[in-house]
Amino acid sequence: MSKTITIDPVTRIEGHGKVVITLDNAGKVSEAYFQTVEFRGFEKFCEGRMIWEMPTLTSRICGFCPVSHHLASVKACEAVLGATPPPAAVRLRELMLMGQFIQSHALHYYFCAIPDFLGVEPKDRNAFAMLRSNSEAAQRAVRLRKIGQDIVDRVGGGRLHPVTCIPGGLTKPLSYLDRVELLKGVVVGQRLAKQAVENVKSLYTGNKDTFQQFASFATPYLGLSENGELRLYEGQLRVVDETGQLLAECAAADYATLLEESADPRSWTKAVFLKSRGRAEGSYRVGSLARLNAAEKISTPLAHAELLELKQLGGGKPVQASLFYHYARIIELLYAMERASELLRDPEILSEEVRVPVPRRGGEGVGVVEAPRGTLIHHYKASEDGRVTHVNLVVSTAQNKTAMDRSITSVAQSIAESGAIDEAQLNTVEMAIRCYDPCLSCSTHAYGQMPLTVSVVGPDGATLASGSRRLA
Amino acid sequence: MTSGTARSDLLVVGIGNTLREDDGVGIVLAARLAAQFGGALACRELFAADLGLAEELGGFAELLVLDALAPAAASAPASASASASAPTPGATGEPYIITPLAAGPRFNAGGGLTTHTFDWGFVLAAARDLFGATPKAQLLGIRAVRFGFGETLSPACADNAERAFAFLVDYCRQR
Repeated sequence: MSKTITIDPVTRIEGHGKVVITLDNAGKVSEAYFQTVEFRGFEKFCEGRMIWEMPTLTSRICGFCPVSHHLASVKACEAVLGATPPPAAVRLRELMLMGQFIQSHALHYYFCAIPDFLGVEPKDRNAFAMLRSNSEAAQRAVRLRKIGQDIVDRVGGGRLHPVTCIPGGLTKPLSYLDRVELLKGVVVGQRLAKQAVENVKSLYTGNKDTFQQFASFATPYLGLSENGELRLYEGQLRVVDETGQLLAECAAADYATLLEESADPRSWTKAVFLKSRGRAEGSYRVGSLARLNAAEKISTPLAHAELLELKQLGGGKPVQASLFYHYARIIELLYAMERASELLRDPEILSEEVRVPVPRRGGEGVGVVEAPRGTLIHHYKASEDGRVTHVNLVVSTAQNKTAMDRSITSVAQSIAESGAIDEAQLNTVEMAIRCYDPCLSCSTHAYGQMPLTVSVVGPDGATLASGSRRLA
Repeated sequence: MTSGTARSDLLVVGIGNTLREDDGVGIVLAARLAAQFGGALACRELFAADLGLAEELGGFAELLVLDALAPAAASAPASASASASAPTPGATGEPYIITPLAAGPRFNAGGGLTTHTFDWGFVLAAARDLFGATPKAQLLGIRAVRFGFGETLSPACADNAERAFAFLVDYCRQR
């Protein structure tokens, strides 16, 4: 008898999602998918707003990657309005993005990912276990996060939702005092980031088989780059195939020539696939590992050295196993810290020319940046008086959706074979999802232990088995 | 207008979302206190409890969190973090309620640690376990009524906030 296993909600991710695993009559996994159970509707209710409001509105989409939405949005607005921000504004925006990468990657790695490797019971794998078992690393995480948040706060005008980016530039320049304070943090941060790299390498060395085998499968990879060099704020969309060969490259504004979207009736998250391969075969991945697989080099020396070391693990091909997302995340953390240092030492960063006049007009525009979780695309159309008529947001979690399903499928067979559902098995499935650090609700960012309900449902809809774990 | 010397051992943190009517009352009060003491009082305005405070708490003897308290039977979303740790006031309760906050693994009613309802217990546990900081920690919850879209406080909440502010000005003044 075929049956369905549901994991709801999934824990230590950003938002509320659930997993459905369907078994065939032989008890094998026939299908597994990750379901987003919330609806937000930003694309619809932004219609009718004035386009210059969009950077502030869309920053509220997410409490975890608000900077990326803020930046993708302002870039899309500028494409519509035909504005080019001055060099200092571009630098400050990139600096803000580095701050977000630092705080987001540090928090996810230390408090969401590491607990899976703490050697404690699955039910105890949470942020508190991290405090208890590795206080030095947890302390590092808190400090790294604060350094990133301080950057966002001082440049973006708020620790959580930035407000300073406007079409044509920024509302305010960086003060000399803010620059000094941020540099102090970044100097400390580079040391902490190097320690984080040693930490993830140690994690890999101690769990080599798991890293290499867990949820490992080949896909193409997408990320922003410029002549093969990693970029986070602006660059070309670059796709490499399963062997690492360049598959496609195009201007970010031309994303629609590369990607296609379709609705998934089982989820509020759209499915995105490579147009050239079609929906069935067009799955690809974005995010930290995808970016490093797609890039050939990194502009900062320490991160570049780590990139080369990571690539060696792939033996000349992309590193495919999903746990390496965590490894790649920490290399990006190091890059973000190095790049923040470069930007802060650039004399241009203090220029008071951070804004140019912007005409009121309509049109169509695309803004693309990298978010910590992957490539983020904002696409707007506006009427001649500047009123928004169309919004399309292509977020990273949607792009990773089918890859997440494949990851779940690859690890779910143990549940199918055991006939029982225990904490360890549930955690294994969640581990596969957590590799991608998905962001679902973009406002109710859940991580840590949550009530977990599991049900096994037969083809007639009857519950065959169920279980749940309670709050601590 | 400043009001004497502020306590240097006190960190005041206003919590909430100023776009959701009364949910922003903690932030409104924190901003007023900062203005009242001319920047001499350590005040932070945040959306939620912040792990980044863990180390900073080492520099203070006391943490006072200002937040909205949702009405008992409200179907509206609870304020950023107050609901996790504070008792829910009754319909005719006091304008504000002070309750202790404790460090420790206490998950909130929503079911875990979240960035919008981040548990103060976790922040205080991190401060204690990672940085040796054990400040006295309290939540001052201001009774709130409305949590819809809007940037103004309801008349009832505004009245409660005035009373809380009068108390806070005295509480935050250097003895």
